[in-house]
Amino acid sequence: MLSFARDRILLSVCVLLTATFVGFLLLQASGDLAASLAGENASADDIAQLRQQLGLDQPLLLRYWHWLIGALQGDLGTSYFTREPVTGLFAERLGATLTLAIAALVISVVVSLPLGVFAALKPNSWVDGLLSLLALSGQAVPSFWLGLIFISFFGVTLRWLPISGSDTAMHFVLPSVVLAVSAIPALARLVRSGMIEVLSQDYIRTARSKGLPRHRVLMRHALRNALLPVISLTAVQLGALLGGSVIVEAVFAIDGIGQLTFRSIQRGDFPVVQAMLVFVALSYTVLTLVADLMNAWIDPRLRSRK
Amino acid sequence: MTDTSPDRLPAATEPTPRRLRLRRALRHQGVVLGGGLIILAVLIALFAPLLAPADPIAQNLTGRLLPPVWLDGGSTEHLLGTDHLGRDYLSRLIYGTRVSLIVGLSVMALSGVIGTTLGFIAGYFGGRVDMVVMYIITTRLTMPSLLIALALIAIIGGSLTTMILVMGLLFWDRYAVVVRTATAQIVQGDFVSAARVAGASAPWIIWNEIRPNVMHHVLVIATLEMAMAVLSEASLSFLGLGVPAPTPSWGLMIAEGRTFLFAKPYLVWIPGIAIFLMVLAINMLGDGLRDISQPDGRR
Amino acid sequence: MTALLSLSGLTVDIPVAAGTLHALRGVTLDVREGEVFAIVGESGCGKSLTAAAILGLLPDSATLRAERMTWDSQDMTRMSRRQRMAMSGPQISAIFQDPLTALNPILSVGEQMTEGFLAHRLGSRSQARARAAELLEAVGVTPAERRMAQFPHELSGGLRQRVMIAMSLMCHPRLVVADEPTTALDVTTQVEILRLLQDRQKEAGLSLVLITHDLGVVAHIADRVAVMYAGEVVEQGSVAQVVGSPAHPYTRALLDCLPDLGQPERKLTPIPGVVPALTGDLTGCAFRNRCPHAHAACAGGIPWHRADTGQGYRCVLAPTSEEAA
Repeated sequence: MLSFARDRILLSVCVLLTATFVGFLLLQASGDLAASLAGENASADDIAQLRQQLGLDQPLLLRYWHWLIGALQGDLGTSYFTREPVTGLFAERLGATLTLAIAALVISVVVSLPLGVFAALKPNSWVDGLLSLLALSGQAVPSFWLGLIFISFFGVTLRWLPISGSDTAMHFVLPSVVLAVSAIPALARLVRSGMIEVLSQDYIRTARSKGLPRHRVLMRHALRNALLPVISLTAVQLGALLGGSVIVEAVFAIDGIGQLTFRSIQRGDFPVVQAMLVFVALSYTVLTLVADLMNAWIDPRLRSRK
Repeated sequence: MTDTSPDRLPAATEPTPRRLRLRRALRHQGVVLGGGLIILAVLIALFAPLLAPADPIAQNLTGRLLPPVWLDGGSTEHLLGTDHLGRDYLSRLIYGTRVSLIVGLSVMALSGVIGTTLGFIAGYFGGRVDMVVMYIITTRLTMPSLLIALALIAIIGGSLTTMILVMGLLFWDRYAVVVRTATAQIVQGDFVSAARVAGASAPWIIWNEIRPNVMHHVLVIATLEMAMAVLSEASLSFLGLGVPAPTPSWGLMIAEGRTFLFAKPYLVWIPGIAIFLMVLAINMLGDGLRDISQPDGRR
Repeated sequence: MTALLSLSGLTVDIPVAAGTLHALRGVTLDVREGEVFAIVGESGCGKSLTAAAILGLLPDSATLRAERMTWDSQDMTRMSRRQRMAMSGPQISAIFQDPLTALNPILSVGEQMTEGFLAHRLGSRSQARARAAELLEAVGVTPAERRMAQFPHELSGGLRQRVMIAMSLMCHPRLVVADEPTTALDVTTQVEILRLLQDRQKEAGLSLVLITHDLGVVAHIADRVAVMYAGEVVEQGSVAQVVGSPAHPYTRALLDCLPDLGQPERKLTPIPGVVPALTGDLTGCAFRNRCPHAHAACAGGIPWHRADTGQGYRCVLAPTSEEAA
């Protein structure tokens, strides 16, 4: 277990470094940042000065090195736009985004698990049909559009819920439901297909032959096995939810890191965007790592394999 | 196997797998409905100039925000009304099909070529090569694709080409993962070893022996990716980082209609439903294709 | 002697794409206290489905009907789900074919051994563990304490099947249904496991229903045997009777495939011809398309001949002409 975890962590660190480097490279190499920052009316001198001021005249590798050293010490640079430290800008807004993402994840899991299990217990029944319908529709709905529809229906027509901002818990209801809708289809389908596969296994028959209560067979023998891929997907989904927060925060005017990133993208505030890339990459890496460790904890076969 | 399975029936003479699959496809609701809708969309896109009642970018500032025909004040001249610049909404919707389909199909093809190539290489050669490709895939998965697409388009400047290139270069991961697994399984098979012994080259074996056997997987992934590309195009355009302004894109139409969400909600509803139907059709086709290639009720 | 388990006219129908599959068509058999009863037949004859019916593990879509299905004189068809579940373990338990897939990969041997015992509230957790350790020692899975902490994938196939056997005995059952318990094992292990099974059966004084396609195994270990074909029992009797003087042409064909009964590892080679489809109405003898003695009467009703010795068979041929042939 320990050597498994160590190897896995080592690999994650390498991947993370590569990902941040590629992200850095893409952002820096795809255009002249100084030129776009200085604006259309800037003279060549202005641009050169700005470039020097921002350190953009140094070689790319060196810049990455400086950035990396800083990042490891918790210094993600200074915003080109507000001149504030990026770390501070992030820290102020992280809470809202995390609340949103975690609420969305909880909703997704709470909806997906029972739906997938019931559909698997009775394939081709009405529950199964409902799942197919929900999954297909959920996948086809653009979240920004669903957000707008929710705003106009629940917020304006019915006046049940607040439609923008992040002041109270109620403010998070609509946006987290919208985010959850994007995560539920894949999760519920995976629960369903996993359960169908597991329920046809011989060891389920063995468990039933012992006269175990039905719920014991389902929870202890079936669901635990079916959960393995679901745990992995959930980790990936949480990463995707953080990425998706850009759109949902824009629609619901939530002042989180998604909104901050989007504004920074619009005004070419590169250090903030890079910080968001790192944040999402780091979350993704940590979450998949946690998921792998959880799976290894559940499934002894994964522990003994190298 | 155990013999708990019901007694085997005497084998009937069966048609070839390919024809059987086609026959099953034509009997499958999802394939027929989804495929039908997509064909309809393609026809609309192709014949947009004939179908559209007006020029989709011609402004008419005296006839702004006219309601659609079913609301008070609507007229048959503008069936779906006009937008805030007096442009005919139906015409913009019809031309929007083009943007959606071009982006969807191009991204599907571009990312498909990248992903399947990587998958073939990893699955066929295995070992070190596989490790390297897996590393690339993991790295790619670690990077948030939507954010990177947004940032890149913001720097390079939004256009149809930029969008297709950026998304195509980002969305190949699922192809690679699936093709890699499938290829690795097939490489174990006897006919591949036989071809190797006979001295066939790796590209020849991949193209002639492996490709036909993974195409049904690729097809399913292709629909997923196309759906995702259509949705992403809409999202990018909605955020103002997709196709530039006068071009009729459904996402852009929603962004423009958003200002009038409370007074004129149909401006948001209409293009939203178009996106929904397009993605729904693609996913229905994809689900159907999966059912056909794997008819045991798994999804 | 009264039967512990008595089945009469047991039918099981399963809906399939092509209609209804009449998987079991009137299975009649009695299992007595303390005996080894073998059910033998080719794959697909319905022997495993009979086991599933006895164990209450038929698929949900299946419909079961029986003229009589009694356990210790209680009507099993009238039992509630709860009553039926209470039987599984303390009354009837099971051993399955493939010990790798039949054990849950993510639960330890100890957890899987004890969970039935605990679910039926037969004792405390420590009592359950003690019982499990005792049984594991008895079937040669040692050291028991360490083995209980292990997971199925850490054990060899033979050890896993020993665990299955020990597990089936946890709740002191009166009947163990063993569905092809040795088929998935290699030949030397097969003999060991069979011997172990027989020892345990004798020692605990329990009944054993042994499902197998291997007449060698039957001759080796069983007291009585039922031969199944196409969802029905075609011959039944003591092993000496059925193997020594088979009455049904199908039993004889099966035995003809075994040149030397002294070799228990010898497997059946299939008899030429195909088993008929069990969908739709099937009248007459199901074996007639493969039977060397088939004639016009075989398409009609087939009588069940029963000799005074207890041997019985389903065929139009008269007992005397049978013995002559």
